[in-house]
Amino acid sequence: MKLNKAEALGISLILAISLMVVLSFLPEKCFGKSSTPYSPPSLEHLLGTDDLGNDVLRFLLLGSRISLLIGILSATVSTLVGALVGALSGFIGGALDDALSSLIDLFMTLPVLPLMIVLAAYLGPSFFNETIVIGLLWWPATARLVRARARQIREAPFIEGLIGLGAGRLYAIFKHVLPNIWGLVFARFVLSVPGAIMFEAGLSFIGLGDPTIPSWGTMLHFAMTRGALLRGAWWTFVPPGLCIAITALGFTLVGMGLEQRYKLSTKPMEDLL
Amino acid sequence: MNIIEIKDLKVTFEMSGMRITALDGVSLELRRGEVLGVLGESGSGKTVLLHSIFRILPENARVSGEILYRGVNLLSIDQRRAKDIIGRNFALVPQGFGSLNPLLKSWLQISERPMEHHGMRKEEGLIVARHLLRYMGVDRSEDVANSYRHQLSGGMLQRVLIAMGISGPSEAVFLDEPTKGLDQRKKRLVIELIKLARRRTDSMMVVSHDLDFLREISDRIYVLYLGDVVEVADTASFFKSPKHPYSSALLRSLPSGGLKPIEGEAPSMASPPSGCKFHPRCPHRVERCSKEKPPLVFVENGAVRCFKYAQGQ
Amino acid sequence: MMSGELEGSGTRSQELSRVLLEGRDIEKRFCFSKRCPPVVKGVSIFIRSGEIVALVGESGSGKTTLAKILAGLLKPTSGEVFFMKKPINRMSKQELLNFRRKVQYVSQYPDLALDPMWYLYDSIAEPLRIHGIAKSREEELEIVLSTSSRFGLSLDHLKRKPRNLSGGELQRAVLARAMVLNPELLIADEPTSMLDPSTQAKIINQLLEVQKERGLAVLFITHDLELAKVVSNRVYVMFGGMIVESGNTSEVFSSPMHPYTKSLLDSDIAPPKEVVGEASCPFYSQCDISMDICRKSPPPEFKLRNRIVRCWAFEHHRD
Repeated sequence: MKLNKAEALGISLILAISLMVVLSFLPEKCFGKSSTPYSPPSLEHLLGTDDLGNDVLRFLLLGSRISLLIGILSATVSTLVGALVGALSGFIGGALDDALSSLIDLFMTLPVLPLMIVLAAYLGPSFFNETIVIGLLWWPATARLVRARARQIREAPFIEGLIGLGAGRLYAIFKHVLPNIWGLVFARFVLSVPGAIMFEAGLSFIGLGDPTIPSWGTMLHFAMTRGALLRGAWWTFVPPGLCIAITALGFTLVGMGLEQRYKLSTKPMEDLL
Repeated sequence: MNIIEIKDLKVTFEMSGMRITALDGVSLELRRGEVLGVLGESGSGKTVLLHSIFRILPENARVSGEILYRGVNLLSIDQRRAKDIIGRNFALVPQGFGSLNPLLKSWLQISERPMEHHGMRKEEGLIVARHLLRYMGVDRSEDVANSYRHQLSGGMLQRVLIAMGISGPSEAVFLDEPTKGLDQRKKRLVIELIKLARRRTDSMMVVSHDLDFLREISDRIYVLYLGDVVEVADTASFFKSPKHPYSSALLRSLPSGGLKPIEGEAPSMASPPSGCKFHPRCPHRVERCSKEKPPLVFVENGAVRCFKYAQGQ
Repeated sequence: MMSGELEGSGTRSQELSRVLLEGRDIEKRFCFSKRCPPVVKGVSIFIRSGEIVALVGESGSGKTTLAKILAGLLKPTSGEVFFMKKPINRMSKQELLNFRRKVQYVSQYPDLALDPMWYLYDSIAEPLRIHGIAKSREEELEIVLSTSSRFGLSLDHLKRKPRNLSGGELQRAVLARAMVLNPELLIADEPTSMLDPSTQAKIINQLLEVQKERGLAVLFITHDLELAKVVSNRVYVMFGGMIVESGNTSEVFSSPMHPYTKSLLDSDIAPPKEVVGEASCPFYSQCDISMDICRKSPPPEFKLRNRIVRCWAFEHHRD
C-alpha cells in the first residue's frame, strides 16, 4: 500500500510517540539522581528538572502513556457511541431517526468545554471520569457523519436490490451497510484521538485532571502554577506542549489519509477514461 | 480552413506499473463552419481526446504529438498560457448534469467562461444567460437563470449545459456525449438546441457513441477505435456506405440495423490486439491483419484504416 | 425489422400461456410539500409466462415506478399486484420468498446496483446463499460460473470489485445475478440505455438466448422504440402515468392509434413540451385532436380488436 507524504509523516510521528511509551518503562535509575529543582538540561537530566527536582524527561515519557491512553480510550467511547447512534438513525430512519437526530443536534449545541469543566469539577478529578466525560461529549460529530453515510447507503440501489433478492433488513445491515461504513468509522476514530488528547490536556492544565498521575497536561499545569514561566524554565513546559502537538498532528494526518482512502474506494476507474 | 489540427497525438497512462495507450497517433482536423462528429464507444479514447485538447489530463498522462490552433502547438506551450488560449477560444459542454455545480446558480455557470476569459461583467453575465435561455425556448428565463441545479428539470438542465457552450465568443464548441442516457424526446431537444447553437459559433466537435444523433447533426465523422482513427467520411456517405468493417458492424448492431452484435469482445486498452486492432472481431480479416497495422489511406473524400482499401490489397 | 424475427423473442402460443404477473388498477402517489400528485394512474398490465413484453415511455412517464411496484419493491397507493393469481401484499413469508425468487428486477444504473465492497463473485452468488440453493461451495461455483459465462463474464471479472469494471461489465454482472436463481420473470428497467451500441447489442442478444433457453418471461422497459420493436411481442405505451395504448408490437408500431404513440413514431414533429398538464387526459395540452371531454373526463381504456387505446377519439370504435 503506497503512502503519500502526509500519511508517512503521520505514521512516523505516531511511531515516535509509541517509542516514548515503550521507553517510559525504563527503570527510574536510568534517569539521573540529583534533585536540584529547575536545573536546566544537562547530561545527567537531558531535559532538566521540574520544580520538585524530578527528571523532566522521565515524566515526559510517563506522561506519554497517560495521554495516549486517555486519548485512545475516550476516542473509542465517543466513536462507538457516535457510530451506533449514527448507523441506527441513518439506516432505520423514521421516528427513531427524528428522535436521535434531535439528540445529536442537542449535543452539538452544548458548549462542550464549559460542560466538561463543570462535569469534571463535579465528578471529581480522576482518570476514569475524564475519559467518560470526553467520550460522552465528543460523539455527535461522528454520529452526524455516520448517519449521513448510512442514509446514503440505505437509499443506494444496491440495498433496494437486496430486498428484491429476498434478503431481510437485518441481513442488509450486517452484511452490506456496516462493512461500507466501517472504513468511515475507523477514520473517525483516528481523527477523534487528537481532540481527546487536547481536551485532556486542557482539563489537566486548568487543574481538573488527576494531579497524582503525570500527564502532559498536568506537567503544563504545574509549570504554570509553580512559577516555571517566571524563572524562564522553558524545559518544563515546551517539551510537553510539543509532544501534545506532535501526537495530535500525527493522528490527524493518518486520520485524514484514511478518510481520503475511504472516499476513493468507491470511485469507479472508468471516470478516468 | 482548419480551426484545429491534431497531428499524430499519442497519449499513454502509467497505471499500476503498466503503460496503457489511450490514443495511438490520432490526426484530425476541425474545419471552420463544420460540425464534426467523433464516433467512439467506451475505450476508444474519445474522452482522452477531449481532455487532451482542453489540457485536463491527469498527472500520470504522457502526451506526444501536436495540437495546432492558429499555428500554435497547444501542447508545447506552458500550462497557464495554454489554458488561457483554450479558455478564450474554446467552449466545452460537459457530459451530464453531474458536471453542473449544485451550489451555483445556473447563470453563473452559463456565463462562467466569458466572465473569466473575456472580461464580461457579472451584470452582463446574467443578461446573457437569460437571453440564451429565452433563445432556447425557455419562457421563464429569469427564474431559470437564478435557479440551482436541483431546482431544474432535465430539459432545463440540458439547455443550461448547451448555453454554457455558446455564452461567449468562441471559435469552437466541444460537446461531450450530450445524449447519453436520454430518451427520444430529450434527444430531439438536444438536436434542436445544437442547431440553434450552431448559428452562434464557427465550428463544433461532438464526441458521442450515439449514431442516430450524429447522423442528424454532424457534417463529417471520424470513427475512433481503441485509440486509432479508423475511418473519416462525410456523414451522408458514412451512413449510406460505411467503409471500415467496424463502422458497418456498428451500424448493424443498432436496433434499427438488426441488433446484430459485433463478433468477439471489446478489447481493453491494457492489452490491445496486434496489427490491426479490430482484426479479432473483423469478418473480413486475413492473415496480414494480425501482423501489420494498416495505415490510414485516403479514399474519395475520406479515409480508411483497412487493408481492403490499401492499394492493390 | 418485424418483431418475432429475432431469435428468442417468445415462442409459446399466447392463448395457452398462463398469466404470471398482473397489476390491476395500479395507482401510486408521492407526497411532498402538501401535494400528492399521482405518478402512476389506473394502470392494468399483465405478463404471460414465456413472453417478452415491452413497456415504452419517456423519463417521467412513471414507468420505473410501475416496474418497481410490479417487482414488489414499492407498495402501490391503490390497486393490487398478482403473482400467479395471488396478491403479493397478502402473501405469507414463504410465498413472498418464492415470489422474490421467481421475479427479478434489474435497473439501468449498473454502477450503483452492486455493493462496492463486495467481489463480483460474491455479489452474483449472494442470491443463492440467501435462498439456500447451493448445497456446497462447488455447486455454488458451478452455478455462478455457468450463468456468468452466458453473459460473457470470465473468472477474471468475478475476482474484481465494481470499481474495476466498466459499465457494460457491471450490467452483465447484474443480469447474471438476477438469472442465477432461474427466475420466471425478469423485469429489466432500461438495462442498456447507459451503454454503447455494440455492448447493448451483445448484452441483449445474450439475454434473448437465455430467455429462449429457459422460457423466461421479460418485461422490457425502454424509451428506445426501435429496441422495443426488435425485442418484444407485445407493447404497452405509457405517458403521464397512464398506459395509453397496448397491443401486439408489430401492429402498434405499424398502425399506432393513440395520438401520443403517433407523435413518438413521427420524427418530423418538433420536440414537444414536457409538461403533462392538469387536464384529465395527460396528453391533452399537446394533442391535435383533443376535444372538450378530454379536458374534463379521464379517458377510459377502449378495447378494440387486439388493441387497447385510452383515448376519447376511439369511443365509438369499440367491438
